[in-house]
Amino acid sequence: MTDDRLRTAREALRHQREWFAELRAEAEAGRPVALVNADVPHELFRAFDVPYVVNQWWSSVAASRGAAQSGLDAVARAGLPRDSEPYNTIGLGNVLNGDADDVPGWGVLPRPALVATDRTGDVTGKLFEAWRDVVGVELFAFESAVQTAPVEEWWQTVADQWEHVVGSRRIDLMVAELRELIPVLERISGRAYDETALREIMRLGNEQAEWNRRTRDLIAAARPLPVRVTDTIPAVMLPQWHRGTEWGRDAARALHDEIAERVEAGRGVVADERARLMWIGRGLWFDMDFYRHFEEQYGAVFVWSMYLSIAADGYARYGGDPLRALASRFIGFPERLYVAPEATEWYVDQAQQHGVDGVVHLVSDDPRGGWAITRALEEAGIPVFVLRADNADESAYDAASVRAQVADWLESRVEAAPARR
Amino acid sequence: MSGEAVIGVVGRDVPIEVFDAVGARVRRLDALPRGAAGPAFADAFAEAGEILGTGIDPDATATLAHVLADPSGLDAIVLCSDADATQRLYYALRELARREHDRGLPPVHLADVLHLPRASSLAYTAAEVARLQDALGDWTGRRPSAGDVADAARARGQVRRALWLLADLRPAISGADFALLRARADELAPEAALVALREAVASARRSSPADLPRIALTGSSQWGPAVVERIEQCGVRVVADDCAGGALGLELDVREPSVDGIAERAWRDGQSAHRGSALERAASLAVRAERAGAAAIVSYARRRDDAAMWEVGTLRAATALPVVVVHEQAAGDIDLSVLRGGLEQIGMLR
Ligand code: SF4
Repeated sequence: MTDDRLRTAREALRHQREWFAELRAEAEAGRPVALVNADVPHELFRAFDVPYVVNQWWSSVAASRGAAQSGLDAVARAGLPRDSEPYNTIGLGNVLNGDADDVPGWGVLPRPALVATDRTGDVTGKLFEAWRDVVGVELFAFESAVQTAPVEEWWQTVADQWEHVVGSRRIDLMVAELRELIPVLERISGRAYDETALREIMRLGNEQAEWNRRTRDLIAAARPLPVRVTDTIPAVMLPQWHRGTEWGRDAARALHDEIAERVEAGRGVVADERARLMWIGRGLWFDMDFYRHFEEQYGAVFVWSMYLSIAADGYARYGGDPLRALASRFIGFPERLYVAPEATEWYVDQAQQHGVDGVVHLVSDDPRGGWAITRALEEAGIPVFVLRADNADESAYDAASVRAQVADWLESRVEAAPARR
Repeated sequence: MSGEAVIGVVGRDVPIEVFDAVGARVRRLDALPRGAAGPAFADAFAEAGEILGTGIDPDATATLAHVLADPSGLDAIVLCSDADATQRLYYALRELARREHDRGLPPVHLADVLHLPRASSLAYTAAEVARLQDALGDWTGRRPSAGDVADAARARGQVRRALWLLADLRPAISGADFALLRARADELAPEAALVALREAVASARRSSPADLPRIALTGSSQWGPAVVERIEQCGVRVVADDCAGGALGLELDVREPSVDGIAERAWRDGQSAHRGSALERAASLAVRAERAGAAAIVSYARRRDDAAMWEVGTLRAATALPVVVVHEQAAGDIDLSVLRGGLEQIGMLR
């Protein structure tokens, strides 16, 4: 079998290793680095040239390289729970373990000089306070205020009318917080705040989002599906952590161009595409064969994941004061991904744009709004299979039984026929 | 509107003073009985579970079940962001009210009170409390004057102080009785609440403190007496707590009797398990527990209500008192065999 993985996915991974090795070397040489949650305004750190590691990205690296357990052991030894959001505590444990947690192929997660987080849920805030109170690292926390006046079809207008869509009060709140973060970053980096630098970072981030949007639209329109969803996820996500750099923008363009080549050549993921499916929820990291199984058995391809589409619809912010634009970029992700009506309307729109025949909806314990999302899709005439599993915990997951149920659903509701042999 | 408006309330961050100022009555939906009663409720409970999913404090599911089983009698529902479960309940109710008119759900409002110690969080909270007052004005048709607000702030302050006094009279009053009065106080007009509380204080002063082993309680919210009552069935008395719905925050006064002052108090009152700092909470509970003569601390948490798990280690480091952990519990309930086992292990029960 020829290797049909995306060149750009491999290149993104190569770049990520190189970038992290450099960050580690700099940290060893005494340069302060930050560890940040995915939902905080990274661009401001970049404007100060403070290198940052994204907590969730590190967890995925450590988990895939067998360094999760030793990290969680350290978390437990520190008197913290190892079974509450384990996925987001791995890095904390790895730093407690220091050089002992050398992740094969990546190395040691440097001890950060600063951690930053939003306060979504009940645990995120406490987890990051543990960075401060147990590990002894400076903490900066953002409030997570709630949208009480949802705007219809936000994805149509948010890039330009973000002040209205996100809401001035919440933007005011986060801008005030960013203004408190600025002196912290000035102290850590030894640099002064440079608005021109932030403007340029925002511009590059917008261009990256534009390429992601073109890629998404290309995949939505292409028949057959030119690329596996499991390939686009790293090819989109790794550059997302470098949003605001020329490399990030160019990687998004390269991904687009590579997929366009495939479309031009008429290449499909499967020879005989018989069902187009949408995947809602985080990736099923411990059973990535799941996707290939249904490609082979049912000619069923997964055409959609939130990773590319939120990168396409969620990030562009044009015009205005760059701090306000930046704040508006980071407010409300959980609402757009999990809460009705913002999330439900978006998923239905995306299902229709991609012409899907059905949706596999991963409902794990923590995300909110699974019920409303399933209902909205079914009401729009799109069959939904609800897969109940925790995406990072395979202990309660029975691959054979899940596959049998999905197969059943495909035959009865999507009317996909199994392959004949 | 004829008669007093009745507004359902969920969570500890909803400022009750604002309801008093417009003359609306509070119905604490989080203090309704948690156990299922009757087949209609069982259906509603199943439906609430379907809607909210499995990854949530089962107490929120019980609250939703009550509302679905019988939404009549409520002119509106006000929730807050005191815990993830309360916020998720808000999202669910908002969507149901938006989409399913035949359910007859009342309007739903979120008072998004924040707690980070920053001027911006305070300003946001002040705007939220003003918005709550406007919403209450729309539902009741009453626009309170500055004087109405000041009176309400002072009267509710007196209620809070009486409750604080009563909290400190435990064990002369049982923990369960205190919890009941605490939840009820929000539902009564301040004058009526004061009468009831003064009676309770007087009667506690007359009775001699029960000679039972004393414990302090931390962890999940405790609206109403159900769990405390079960704990006390083991032959102990709950004499101190830092639970939402318990004695937490009763000592905090409104400094300026105005809408902004009410908001400022609500913003300051953020040391709950879900929103507060483990370090500060542990330090303060250690003192409360020792002062009340507790011989142990019980950390109680419902299933999927994870905040308390993050505090156990810090708490153990902050106090010489033994900490008994009873987590993963069902709504309105506590597994007494686990609690007894823990109390026996530390020699409190034989
Ligand atoms: S008792 Fe232990 S295992 Fe159970 S929830 Fe609490 S910390 Fe976790």
